Amino acid sequence: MTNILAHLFTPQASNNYKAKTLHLSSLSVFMLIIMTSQLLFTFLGQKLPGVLGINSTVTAEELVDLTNQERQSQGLNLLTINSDLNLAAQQKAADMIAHNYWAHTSPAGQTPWAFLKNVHYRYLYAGENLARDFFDSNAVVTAWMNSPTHKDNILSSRYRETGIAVVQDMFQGQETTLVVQLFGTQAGNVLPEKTNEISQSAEAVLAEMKSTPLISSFHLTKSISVSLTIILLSVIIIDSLIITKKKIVRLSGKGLAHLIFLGILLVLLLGIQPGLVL
Amino acid sequence: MAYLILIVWLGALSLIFFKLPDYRLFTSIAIGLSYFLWGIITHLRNKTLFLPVVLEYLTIGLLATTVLIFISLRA
Repeated sequence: MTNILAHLFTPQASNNYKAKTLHLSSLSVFMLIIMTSQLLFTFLGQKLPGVLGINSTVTAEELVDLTNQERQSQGLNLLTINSDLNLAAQQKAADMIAHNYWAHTSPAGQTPWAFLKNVHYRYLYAGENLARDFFDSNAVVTAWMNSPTHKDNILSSRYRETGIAVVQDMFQGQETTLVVQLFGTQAGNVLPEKTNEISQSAEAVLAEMKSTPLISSFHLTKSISVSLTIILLSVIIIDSLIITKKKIVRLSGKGLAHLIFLGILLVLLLGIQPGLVL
Repeated sequence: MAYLILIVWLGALSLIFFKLPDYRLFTSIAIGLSYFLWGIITHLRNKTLFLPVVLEYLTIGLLATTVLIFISLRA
C-alpha cells in the first residue's frame, strides 16, 4: 500500500522520477472523470430529479419583505402587494418557460409592459427584475442589490406596489426556479415626485434564485473540481520538493508555473457562485 | 519576469471571469490557452521545449479549461 502511494505521489525510479499522478495518462484520467461526472449529473438530473433536483426555498413573501427592508433602510415608502402585478408576474414567468427565453423582451417582441396591460394595470411607472436558480430569497435580493439597474428598481421612490412570481419548472433543459418581480405605480396615485414619464424597465436580474437542491449539481461539480485541484497542487508541491532536494534532473514542465496556474484555478473555483444578473 | 507576466495576465483574466459572467466560457478557454502558450514560449526561450513538455502544458491547460467550463455551465 505504501509503495502504491509513493508511486502515485512521489518521484522515484518506478515512475521515471515523476509522481504518477502528474503523468499525462493520469491527467487524462482526471479529465475523463470530470467529463463523465458531468454527463452523469445531467442524466441523473433529468431521470432522478429527486436526487439531483432543486428544492427551492425562495418565496414571494420573503422577497417582498426583503425588498421593503432595503427600502426602509433608505427611508423610502414600503411597497404593497398588488394582485394584478402578481398575476402579470405569473404570466411573464409562464411565458418565459413556454417560449424558453431568459430576457425582458420575449423572442416575439413582447415587453414586460405588455403583461401589465394584459391584466389592465394602468401604470405611471413600472419596472421589472428577474432572477433564476438562486438558493434562497436573501441571495436573490443580494444579487439584485449588487446590480445598479436592479438596485435602482428596488430603491426607486417612484414605485408604490409590487408583484412577484416564483415558479419552479423545467427551463432550458434543467429544473430551475424563476423569479419575476414587477414594480409599479398606478395612474392616479399620488407620488412623491410628479413626473409623467414612464420609467424604462431596469434590466432583468436573471440570477439563480433560491433552490436548495437535495444534491446541488453546482456544488457537487464545485466539490469535485476543488478536490481534484487540491490533489494536483499537493502532489506538485511534494514532487517539486523531492526533486529539488535530491537534485534530480528530468524533462518536465516548470513546477512553480503549475503551482501558480493551479492556485489561480483554485481561487476561481472557490470564488464562483451560482446566479446570473442581467 | 516570465512568472510575473503569467501572474499578471492570469490575474487579469480571473477578474474578467468574475466580473463578466456572460463571457465565462470564452475566459475559460483563454485561461487554458494562455497557460499553454506561456509554457511553449518559456521553454522555447530556454531551449528546453520537447514534445512531452508541450503535452504536459496542453493537458494541464485543457484540464483547467474543462473544469472552468463545466462549473460555469452549472453556475
